[in-house]
Amino acid sequence: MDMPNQTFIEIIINDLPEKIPAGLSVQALLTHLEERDPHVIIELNGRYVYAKDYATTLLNPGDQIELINPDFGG
Amino acid sequence: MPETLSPDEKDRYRRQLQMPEIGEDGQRRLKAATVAIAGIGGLGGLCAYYMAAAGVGHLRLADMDQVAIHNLNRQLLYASGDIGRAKTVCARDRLKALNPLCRTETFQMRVDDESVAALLEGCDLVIDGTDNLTSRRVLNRAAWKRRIPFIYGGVNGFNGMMAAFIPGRTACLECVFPDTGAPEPPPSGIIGPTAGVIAALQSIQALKQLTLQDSAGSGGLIHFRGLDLRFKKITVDRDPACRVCSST
Repeated sequence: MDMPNQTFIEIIINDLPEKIPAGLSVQALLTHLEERDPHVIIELNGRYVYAKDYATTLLNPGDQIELINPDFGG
Repeated sequence: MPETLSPDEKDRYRRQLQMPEIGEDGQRRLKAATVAIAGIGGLGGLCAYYMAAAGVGHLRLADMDQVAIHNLNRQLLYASGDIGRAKTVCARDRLKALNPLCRTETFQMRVDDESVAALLEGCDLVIDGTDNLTSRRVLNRAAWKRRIPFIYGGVNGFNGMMAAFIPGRTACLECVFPDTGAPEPPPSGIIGPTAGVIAALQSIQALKQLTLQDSAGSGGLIHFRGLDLRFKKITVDRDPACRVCSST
């Protein structure tokens, strides 16, 4: 739940602008978005982000993030 | 240098021989190549057809399943009369009819750490036609250990992904999909053309790698979205902490 007086930043998520609480990491964003795919791939400002770095990668205003759900069928 | 081409082969592959990127040297490399295809379903079956048609000399085909009626919306190597027959046997027959010059070996097996050694022994390249991450990780580890390029493909509905993982030059599959213990996703819906797009990309990468070798671009991780017909290329650097490729 959003807190009163909480500050927000605008980032681009999958080509769409979205306001999110300031100070979120990639991991926290996934929780915020209720992303349930444990294999989701993240590209941040054109760079691939390793899953092990999700918790320590912080989001800044104007960031462009892409969430890609990988495909494993054959 | 690989074997020479017969007059029949020069005729059969004329349109490839015309390509400066392939030419006679590239065609001879294809003839001398051994390619393993793990999983002969929607992706692997089409890749096998492309490899045989292009003149790859030796294909190793691995699958443990029989053809089922629900395969036929996308597994175009098979026909209704094949239902109940082993996919490896049907694939071998179909590829023989397409190109009798292509030698095929069949492996009726599940891909695991024990079985994979025989499949990859002496191979120049392995194509992923599996439908689960566990088998892909087995193939990735085995390919990396043997310094064999591994061409990953995966599909889901209208979407698909493809990447060429090349030892010494690119990240590996585990750099992208580390084993976190997360469960495998359940089988997804799929249409035939999505498998066609991704299998075609895998096949292009495989043929590039076999003919152009070190000068073939690896291309990054390609994501295809069929609903808006969008391709996206994602550059993935090798993970210095990857437990598969960082130590090799």
